[in-house]
Amino acid sequence: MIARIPTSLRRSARISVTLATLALSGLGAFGCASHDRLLEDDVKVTEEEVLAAGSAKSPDVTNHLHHILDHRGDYDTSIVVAALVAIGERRDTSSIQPISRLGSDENEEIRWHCVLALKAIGGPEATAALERFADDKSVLVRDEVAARN
Amino acid sequence: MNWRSNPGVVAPFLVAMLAAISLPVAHAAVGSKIDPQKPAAPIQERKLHNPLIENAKNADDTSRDVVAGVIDYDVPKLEAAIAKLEKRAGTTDSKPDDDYFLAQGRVGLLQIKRFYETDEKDKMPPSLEKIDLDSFADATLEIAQRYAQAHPDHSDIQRVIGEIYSAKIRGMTGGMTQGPKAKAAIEAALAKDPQNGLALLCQGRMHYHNPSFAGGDKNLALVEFRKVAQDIDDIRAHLYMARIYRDREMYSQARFFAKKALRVAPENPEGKLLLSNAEAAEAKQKSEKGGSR
Repeated sequence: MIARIPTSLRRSARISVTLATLALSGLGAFGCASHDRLLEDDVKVTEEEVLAAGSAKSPDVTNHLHHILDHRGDYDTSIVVAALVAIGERRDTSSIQPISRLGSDENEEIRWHCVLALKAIGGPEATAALERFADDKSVLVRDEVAARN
Repeated sequence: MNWRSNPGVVAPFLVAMLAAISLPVAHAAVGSKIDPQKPAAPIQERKLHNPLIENAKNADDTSRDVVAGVIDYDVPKLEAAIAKLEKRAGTTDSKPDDDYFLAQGRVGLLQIKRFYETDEKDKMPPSLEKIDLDSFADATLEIAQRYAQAHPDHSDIQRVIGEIYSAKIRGMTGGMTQGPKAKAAIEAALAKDPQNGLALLCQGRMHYHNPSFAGGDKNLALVEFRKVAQDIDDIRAHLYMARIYRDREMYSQARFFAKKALRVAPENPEGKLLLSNAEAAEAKQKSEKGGSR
């Protein structure tokens, strides 16, 4: 039966299937990250999934981002950093406290991103929290506090 | 379906065959003694160190200039130090580790040339333009192998040899011929010293640059670079981190690591370029999202 289908048609079908497979795998690989694992507080959540939460509409997402900050020891540094980037994008003043609690974290990369997140949130409360980082032991963190933008 | 009408079908088999043939040859070439029964500890459990910096502490000013020139991408300083080492070779002024630093300095020049070729062609120093990659790399390999023969217990020379093979790679064909040799040398360095942070960096580079069918894995590269950046504050680890995050459009992370690189070497041109790229892209991204930092 298959042998009766013209060769050109079979070739076209094969190309179409290949292109569809590539397109589907491409969607998974580039920029179409969901944040299901974030909502389940799964420690295996990826950077892309956490970052996708930055623009998610559900307000509940913020609580799950806070969960990452509050359980910093359970997550890889890159995930905590991604959570801070996403929090900065959401600009929710309820994030100021969880961010401030990371002010004494050993990791310079995390403290530097805390500064960025507080600057992004803005307002008097965030500015006050930022003061805590003005005397940070890292010059990169102190410079970022001092930088206006 | 047959291979004449679909030549792409046989490509993976050809690659696998080439790898199967070249890997044992490459292992033999570098005298690798990897014991498969003794796997190294997981990356996170290793405390890395920087053998180049440690060796430089016991060396003279010329050798230290090599290391500084490589870190800063200071081509005149590096060339002057290399010329001094070459001049004193075979004389009573030569030092036991001269060939190690000489090979390191020369491969450093090739890596700096690669940066300018790829990212800043207009700013390439004229002396780098004159370097012929293959003959220069082959001469460097001879120096490194001579040192490796004279110092079989040296913990870092196989890493340098791996870097020389890596520097010779140009395109897919270069990857297939030189890649396995580089991999074998780096593995030999790590087998000798699993805490060699520069060898782990080289492994990360292979994972970063190789296509996935040849073992490339950018996520694994990121883990390796992060570990090197954290343990030995190596500029190249910071630069690669900045590149990976730039490629992923995570610009604040890219900016952080470019700044870390510039903290190690404030005049490093690659660090400066990556920082300005990250700053510009981050500002654009923020304005597109309708916010301001």
